[in-house]
Amino acid sequence: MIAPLRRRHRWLAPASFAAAIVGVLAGVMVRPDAFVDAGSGRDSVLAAPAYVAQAARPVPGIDGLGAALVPGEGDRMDLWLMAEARLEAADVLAYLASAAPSPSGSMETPLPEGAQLLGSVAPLGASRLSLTAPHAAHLVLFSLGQQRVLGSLDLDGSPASTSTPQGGR
Amino acid sequence: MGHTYQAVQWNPQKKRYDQLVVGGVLLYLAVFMAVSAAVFPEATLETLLIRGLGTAALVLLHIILSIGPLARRDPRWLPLLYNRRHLGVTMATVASLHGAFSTLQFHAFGDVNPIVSLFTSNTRVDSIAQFPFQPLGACALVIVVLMAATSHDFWLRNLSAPVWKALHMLVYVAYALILLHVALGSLQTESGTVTPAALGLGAVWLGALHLRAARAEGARDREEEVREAAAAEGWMDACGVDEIPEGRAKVVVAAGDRVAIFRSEGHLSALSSVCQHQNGPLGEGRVVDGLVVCPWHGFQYRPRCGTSPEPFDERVPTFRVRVEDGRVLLDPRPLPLGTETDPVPVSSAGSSPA
Repeated sequence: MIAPLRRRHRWLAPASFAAAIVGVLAGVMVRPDAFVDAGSGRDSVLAAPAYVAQAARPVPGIDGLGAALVPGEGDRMDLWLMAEARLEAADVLAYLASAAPSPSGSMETPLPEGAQLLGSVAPLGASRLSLTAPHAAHLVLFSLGQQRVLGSLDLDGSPASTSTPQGGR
Repeated sequence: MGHTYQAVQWNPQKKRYDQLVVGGVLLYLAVFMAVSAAVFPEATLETLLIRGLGTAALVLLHIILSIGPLARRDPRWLPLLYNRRHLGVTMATVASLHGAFSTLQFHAFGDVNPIVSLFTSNTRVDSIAQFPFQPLGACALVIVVLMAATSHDFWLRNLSAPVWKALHMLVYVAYALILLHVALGSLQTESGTVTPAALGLGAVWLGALHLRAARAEGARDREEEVREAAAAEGWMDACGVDEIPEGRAKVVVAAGDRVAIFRSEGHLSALSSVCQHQNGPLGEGRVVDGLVVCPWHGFQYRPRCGTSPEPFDERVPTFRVRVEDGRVLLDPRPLPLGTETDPVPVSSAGSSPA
């Protein structure tokens, strides 16, 4: 009874470790530092290419954070978020919403209804998020730690007004 | 067909083992979170906890997968093997907490069911950098939880050993999924070299350990198969009588499986070297008070008939053996379970009656 189990063990274990090593190598090769501009002069490797940095607009309400929407692969768009200095908010998430967040009256601002989660925003350096076309018009940045909207940006062109902190979530 | 459930039979060794494991996990979490809080001051407690639990589970998995091949090479690692399932259950618990907190953190604040969101929020299967890594972790979690839930001997008996063993070998699939989960997930949000180096080193370490153990076991099998091929008249020349120490066994390969020829009080008996509990190497055990004792979990068998003493009902096949001119000859055909054989005196020139 043991022989078939040993034979299975002999191919299953090496296949698993080989897949794991290949996966780690692939993950290392494709992570954001692969896109660093050689001439950017930055110490951090989490930097956006120069053409992206040139297209960046500041995100109202968040000091030192810029956003740029550039064509990506196929019909997708790449949304780059670039933090020049470490963000002072905790666990910042990026959402897309069809409308800008509406101001309310207390310390926490809720996310707009139907906001779509794009991903997390690196506290320092660049984050790249992928959007399909068509996509909702407003980028909303939300801090999970502080449970409030930090700022939003109209991706179609004009920056939206910053929401004032209010309403619990 | 079913077997009644008996709770864990705690003894001082198990309690000490579990205390060490739980204490180790808590210490690791405390140190990890303290260091991370210093390096990433903007990270919330929830984030630190998620990272700490995830890395703790990964470290535990590496330890668990190392124990088997280490124990094959050096019996000093056997104490870790005895209660390895406790490590597995701990790992599954820690991983479940990581999964629960992560799901809550990243998927619970929308209008979609969190579990549905986990599997459907990212559909970029065509990209490596943005691959939906969370479902990979979820699938691995299902495997390890299933393994933890069936780790008790109750399931081993009810599912049957082949099914149980096949289920528990999915740990290798879980390992690959977890490493992909990390490589395509958190590795994509940082630029350092420590994490990828640690991941790669872990996989290489485990691969090398398993390869080394496999080569040693394979060489051993091939050595015995040569001997088996030379058998005549249904009997194979197993070994010299002097090669078997008192109270221990010589393991040979017969009919594709391992057979242990034990020597006890000047007599020889042969039975399968595969313990019915969890396929432990019975032939590496000892004879204590007239019973063969498995080195992994202490299961016992009578050498003359291969049955366990009451109240246990495990049985292993026995084999006929005889001694001629100082050589031990073995009939490679296993006898029906429970067949009584007379132990052969080591100085005998006759055959062992069936």
